[in-house]
Amino acid sequence: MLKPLDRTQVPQSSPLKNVKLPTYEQHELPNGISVYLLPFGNVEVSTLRCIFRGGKGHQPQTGVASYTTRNMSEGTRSYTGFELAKVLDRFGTWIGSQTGYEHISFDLSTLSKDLPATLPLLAEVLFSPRLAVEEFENMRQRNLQKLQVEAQKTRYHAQRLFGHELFGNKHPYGMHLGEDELNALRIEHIHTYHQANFFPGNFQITVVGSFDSHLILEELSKSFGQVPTKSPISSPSLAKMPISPSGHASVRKPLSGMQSTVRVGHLTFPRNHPDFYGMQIVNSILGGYFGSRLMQNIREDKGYTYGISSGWLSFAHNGFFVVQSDVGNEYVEDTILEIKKEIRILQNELVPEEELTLVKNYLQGRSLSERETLFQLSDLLRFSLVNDISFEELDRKFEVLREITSEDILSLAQTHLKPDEMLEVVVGGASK
Amino acid sequence: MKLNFDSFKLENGLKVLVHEDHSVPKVVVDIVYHVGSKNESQDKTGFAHLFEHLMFEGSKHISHFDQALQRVGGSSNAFTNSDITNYYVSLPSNQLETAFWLESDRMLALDFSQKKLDVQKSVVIEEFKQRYLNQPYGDAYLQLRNSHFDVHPYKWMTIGKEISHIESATMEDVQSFFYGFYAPNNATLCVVGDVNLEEVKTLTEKWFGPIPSRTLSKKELPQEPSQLAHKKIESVGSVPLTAVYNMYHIPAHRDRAYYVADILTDILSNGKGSLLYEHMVKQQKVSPGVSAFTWGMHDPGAMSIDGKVSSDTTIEAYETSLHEVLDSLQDLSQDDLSRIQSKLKASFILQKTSFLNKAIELAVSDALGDPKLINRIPEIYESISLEEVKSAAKEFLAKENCTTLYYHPHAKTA
Repeated sequence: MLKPLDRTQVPQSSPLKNVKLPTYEQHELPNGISVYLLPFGNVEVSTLRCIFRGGKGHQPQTGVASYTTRNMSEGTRSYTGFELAKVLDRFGTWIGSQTGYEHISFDLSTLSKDLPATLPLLAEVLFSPRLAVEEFENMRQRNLQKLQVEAQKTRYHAQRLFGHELFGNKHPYGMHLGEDELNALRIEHIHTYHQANFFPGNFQITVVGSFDSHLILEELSKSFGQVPTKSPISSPSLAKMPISPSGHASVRKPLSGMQSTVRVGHLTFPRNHPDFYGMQIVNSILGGYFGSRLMQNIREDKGYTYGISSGWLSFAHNGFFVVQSDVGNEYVEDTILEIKKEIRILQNELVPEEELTLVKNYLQGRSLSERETLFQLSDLLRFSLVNDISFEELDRKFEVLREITSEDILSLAQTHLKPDEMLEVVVGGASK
Repeated sequence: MKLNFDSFKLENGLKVLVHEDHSVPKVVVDIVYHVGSKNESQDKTGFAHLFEHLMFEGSKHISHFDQALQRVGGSSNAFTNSDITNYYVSLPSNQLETAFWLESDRMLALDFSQKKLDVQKSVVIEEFKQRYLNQPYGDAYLQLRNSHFDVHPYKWMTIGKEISHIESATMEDVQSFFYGFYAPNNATLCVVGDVNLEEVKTLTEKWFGPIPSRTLSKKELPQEPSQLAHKKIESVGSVPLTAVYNMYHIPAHRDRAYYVADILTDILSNGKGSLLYEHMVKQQKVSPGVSAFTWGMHDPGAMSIDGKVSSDTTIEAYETSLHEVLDSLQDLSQDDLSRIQSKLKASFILQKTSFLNKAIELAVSDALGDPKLINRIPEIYESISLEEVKSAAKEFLAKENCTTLYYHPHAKTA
């Protein structure tokens, strides 16, 4: 007879498997530009990325890096922005850009068969953009109007204030492209920045997807490999400059509305700190996933918010810890108290074995979802190249994850979390 | 590029779709219940969505859904819209059975306390504030849909008409909603990833087979009558710029004409090569941003054209400019149409790189009546002719088919 189904028991399973990152090949174009090819996936699509040195950590004026980047696809030597967009649409190809602190990258995502036809368009955007004053002015006007809309949001102000207070508004990690900064930008800044950063020799290329390596290298040589390269620039990172925190413990900005944005946290350490992975795990327990202690307490037990999360963000030269939530105005003070309470519990009590196992398994499972698509692998590859961390080293987080104990968590929390030295920013709470 | 899948059905009515992809040792288990906010009664709106929250609060044999899932390396989420409620779990493929255990138990019966209900009501109320009431223009669609639809339950947004409806939800309401809509015969299970058909068959039979089919409380929905005259409403809020929201009636998602409307919105506003952006934003500068989109409603529904009016421009100038673009659709060339068709085709393929996207698309195709739709959509778009697009533009974008919301800033006091 068939055994009746026991729904109270978790089904049996084999242990979790690690997924090793796939390997990539490194090549060089005739003029010395490095190319990294990472074959991946069973769909005939590819994402190609040019990663330039520079970025928000290396800009002479606030916003000039991202503004140059955004203006570049507004028209090139041979095409207006409208024409360029239409040519790309014909292939269903997408050109996008991101400006980080230590890099600027341009991506071309396309059906692999259309790479040869669309690659020259990317080359035009990079090296022959118009950067016309009218387009620049129009974009500025549009953005100023969009900023007015942003200025109605509590989140916008909280994020801006938090950065200013923690790092000072001259430091790249604390500055913010607001109305004043936008008004101070000139087209000449854009031209100078473009010339100083966008040239062969100052970037490397990655291609991830399903493609013919030989063909890709040939096409890349045609588009990028013939121009003589200059030496890469070595403008010092502004992010190295000293920070100038305000030293305030609490900043409140009234704004009318039914909810307030709460942001509390403090400075931490840079990306290469040996405790980086460990603190990612501590942060997960506190507020880094749906089952975190803060979510369980503030949302699932008290119903103060739709969501609360914490982040442990480390950059090349510094980092910060932050807890953020939008809560009903009446819950602000209690939320801040509970956040501090949860941090102190992490510093005073061992994480129960069961919870630690859960978090370990959860994080290991989630890493599968971070390595699933070509776009995710392209991001991992960029992270590895920009920060000079090998794929093997990236996988070290699994070792830390396997070996970390409740005692380690306690000592990490005691060393790096500072509930008594936190900056509290609250925006909202004013009656209409 | 076709997406291959197998399908089968249990005796209790549960439909199952399986797509194998072994590129990563991971699986997504997606379950769509054919119930959305359109199935709510008008004095208890927001219920389908509140219910989605409650599905994570404990079932007959499992008190903590998320914890049980996280313990095996999984994660989950869900969304509700006017037509469906969709739940998905993603986890390492060696843990496939855990997903079946969890999902089948919450289809069997829910079990949670009054306190958990109260907390989730509060969470949803905060969500209501965060997304709709505490954002500039956040309540625009609440107002617009209420005016645009006269009788169809698309009148209200999925979050609900008002906070009080959520506040007054009781345990009895929850129970009757569950047994009226959550049933194997009102659901489709989609399994995508590193699995094989036979194991999915065995597991489905084992875990979902014993759940009895239920009598559904689905009612015939009122049909929206044709709109005969332009409707206009006005609103005022803490916003810096006037915004103009135009909503137009379009046919049901199953209708070919829906896809024609969808192509229209792509021609109008998908990217910098689109007509609205080039004419209104870049050339005439009457707007800092304008967009067009279809709402994806399964019954006869809506498409929108929304934009903000530049601070140095009048509403009249904005509208004149918009109408110039809409008129210019009659001069559209075959080349313009073919370009958008190629773009849509490529973006379909680019989207098929994630397990979750594939699972959700399969689930939605099935909810629209035929899972094979997932592979037919590119052909449908490709077969649309220039004449169809032009006549749809005339018909759908006609003034009498439109409801307009003007959202103004508070009058500036000196």
